[in-house]
Amino acid sequence: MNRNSSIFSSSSYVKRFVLTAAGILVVAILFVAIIDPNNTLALSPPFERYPAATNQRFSYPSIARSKTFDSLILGTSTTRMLEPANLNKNLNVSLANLSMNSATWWEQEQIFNLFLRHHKQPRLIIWGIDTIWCNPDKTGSRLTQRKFPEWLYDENSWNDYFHILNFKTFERAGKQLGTLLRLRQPNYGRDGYRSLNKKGAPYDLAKARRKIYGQTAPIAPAKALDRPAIDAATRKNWQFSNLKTLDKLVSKLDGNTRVVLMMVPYHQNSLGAPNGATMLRYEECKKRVFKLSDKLQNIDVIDFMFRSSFTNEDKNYWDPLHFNEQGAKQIEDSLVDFIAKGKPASKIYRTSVKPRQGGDKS
Amino acid sequence: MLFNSQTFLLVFLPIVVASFWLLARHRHSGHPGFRLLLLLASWVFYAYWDIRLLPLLLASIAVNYMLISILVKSPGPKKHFLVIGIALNLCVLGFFKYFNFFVENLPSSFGFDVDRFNIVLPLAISFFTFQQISALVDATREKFHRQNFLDYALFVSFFPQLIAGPIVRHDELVPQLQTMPDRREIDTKIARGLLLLTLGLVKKVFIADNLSQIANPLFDASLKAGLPIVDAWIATFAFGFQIYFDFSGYSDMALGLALMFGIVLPVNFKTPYKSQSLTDFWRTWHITLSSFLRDYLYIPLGGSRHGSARRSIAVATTMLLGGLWHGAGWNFIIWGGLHGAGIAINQTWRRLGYNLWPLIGWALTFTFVMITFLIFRAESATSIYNLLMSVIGLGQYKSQWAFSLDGLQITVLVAAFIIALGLPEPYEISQRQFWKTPWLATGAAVLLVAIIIYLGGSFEQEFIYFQF
Repeated sequence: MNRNSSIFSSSSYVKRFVLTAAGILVVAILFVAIIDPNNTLALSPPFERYPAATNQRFSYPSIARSKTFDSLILGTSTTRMLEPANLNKNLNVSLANLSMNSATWWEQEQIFNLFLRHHKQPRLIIWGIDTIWCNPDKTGSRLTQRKFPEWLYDENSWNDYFHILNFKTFERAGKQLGTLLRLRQPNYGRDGYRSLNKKGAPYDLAKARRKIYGQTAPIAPAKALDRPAIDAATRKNWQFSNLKTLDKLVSKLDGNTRVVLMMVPYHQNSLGAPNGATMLRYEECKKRVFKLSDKLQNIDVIDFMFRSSFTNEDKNYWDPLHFNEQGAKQIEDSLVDFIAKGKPASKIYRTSVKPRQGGDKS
Repeated sequence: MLFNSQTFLLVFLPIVVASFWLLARHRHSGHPGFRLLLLLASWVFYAYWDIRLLPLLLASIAVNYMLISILVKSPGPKKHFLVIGIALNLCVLGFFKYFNFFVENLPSSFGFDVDRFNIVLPLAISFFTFQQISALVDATREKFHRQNFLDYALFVSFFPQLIAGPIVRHDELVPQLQTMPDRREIDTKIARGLLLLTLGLVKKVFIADNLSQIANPLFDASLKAGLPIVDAWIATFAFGFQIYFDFSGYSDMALGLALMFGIVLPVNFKTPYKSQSLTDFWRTWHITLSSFLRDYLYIPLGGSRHGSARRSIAVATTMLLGGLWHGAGWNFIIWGGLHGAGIAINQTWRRLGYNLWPLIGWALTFTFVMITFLIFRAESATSIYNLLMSVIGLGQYKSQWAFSLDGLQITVLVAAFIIALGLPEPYEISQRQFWKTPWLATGAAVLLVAIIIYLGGSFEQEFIYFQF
């Protein structure tokens, strides 16, 4: 190519244009293909990668495929604070926490199915049951505003190459490279866990109360209504169709997998008054979840979703929906008490108690 | 397949261009292999959207080719064949494009249930129908260029112009297709093509698509209530510039893509928003449609040969039908009607010898065009009323509601003003000897790659004119 502009011809222009464009594209594609930020590509070099994407929907498929884990926590952000490292030893399992922020029933189904395809007999599934599953008359959307990469959830790792050429993937590849070179901390642990308090900021009770009550002073629990806000006939007609989906999903598991459906511990203020519409909805949902668990021997329910010394304690929470590190410790202990030691109830949880055959399977 | 997609830019286009020029190494210009290659590529390009649409395009080409062959060969009077041909094309277009509209506007006592018909509008039908009508008319003329089926099928299907024009005349394109590739100054043509493709993508991806993010929520809001006056004007300018950058960007890409095969397509835009009169606007906006309407509608209706009254009627009728061509909706008819009336007044004004200061002429034309585009874009009569009242400050709106622009949106809106009103069209730029500047090749290549990568992470947005 002649670099002298006075005799730079249109032929040289075209060559330079095409070679420059092709060169940049090849380098860009190779960079992403080698770094493989989502750890899903067919020809991925064997680096020890961490989840690089902030959007967990991109990060978690590779964890779901990993043979490192034999057990799974899933749900929305309401179960994100459960740290696998604190549960594994006592439960004698290897858990991944793939709870995704605002995950819809459909998104939870996708990650569950993917995990199941790669782990024919998981040992333990802890499934957070919250408002997503307790919707009385709607299924809700399949997706949120967050992008959901369906191609990462299939068994074809070649089609992932069609989705690597975009700035977001470059950003993730840069983060992955930074993590591999130990220049930065990973977004999530290899087991999918990350505290909601990512930056490790000191706990601020006043801030939590502002989120819980809308003010810094606590408000006394609401008094029970004289009569139910929603009549019994209406409640009976509620469909809870997402729970039917949940039923189908857990029914895929054979008796060797212990399933624990965990009614999450919302702060009491967000449950409303006894006999109020919100509490009635959750109570009815709980009834249906307990009924679902009755059908199969390997499914249990642990219920934290009621007024208790845990849900009444502001210090256990970041906000009305999410418990903090202090709260997580108590919830984890309770899970161990129930799953490993068989303790049927405590001050902060209730369970579906049924006689077990062959003792504790976990 | 959209021009603004990675599939097109990274897979389809490189394969087709490389195959074409590889073939050119072994075959002389004019070899039918070139036409066959581009024809098959064009049908793949069209079928990629929805393969069910392809049979209609193929049938339309076959029937029109047959009619044209009869018209060319028949020695006697040809008028009845021509009438049959035009009627047939208009019937097909009318069925797919206007049937629902017609039924919806029938009195309910006729008992039609429009949902029962659920007719899907085939992509590009307005464009390939008009192109074939012009070929039918031209076939009755003595100097009609000879062609075979391959030439004709490619004339209609040639992928750079198939979906949204430019509307090309038979005699403009067929001779080029028959002798391609024209190797004279081919490197310059390809260099120009690459530049036009890149600048067209910039117009579409960086400007038009961002303007749509401003315009869409405001137009949606106008379906329910009026807007504060500032928001109404933001909506006006945002859509006015969006449609210009969207459509002219598409046209630039079409011209650029054709140049990569050595084919020169007619220019469709010549900085229309700089026009100082409505007549000038229509000489610089969607030029190939204006030319079509002039030659095949306005002149046959009498044109300017029968006095001012007849001319005004011809203009009004032409513009009304031009409006209706855009879509089956009263907003398009009103838009076309207003432009027809505007041109008639403009012509009368000129004939009477009045002249406006250029700046006032521009301001009046620009404002008229922008306001009428509000009607063009509005989705209901309520929305039209709300928007028109809002631009004069009489919109009924909730005081709390006001659209606020972020930094990027303000930048895009200002850039749109500057580019549309201050800079030449990419086509003009491409005619300069830009290729003598080496760094420009590097810069343009980097820009194209940046757009391609950007497209990988965004939702592919269709062009506005794809719906017409």
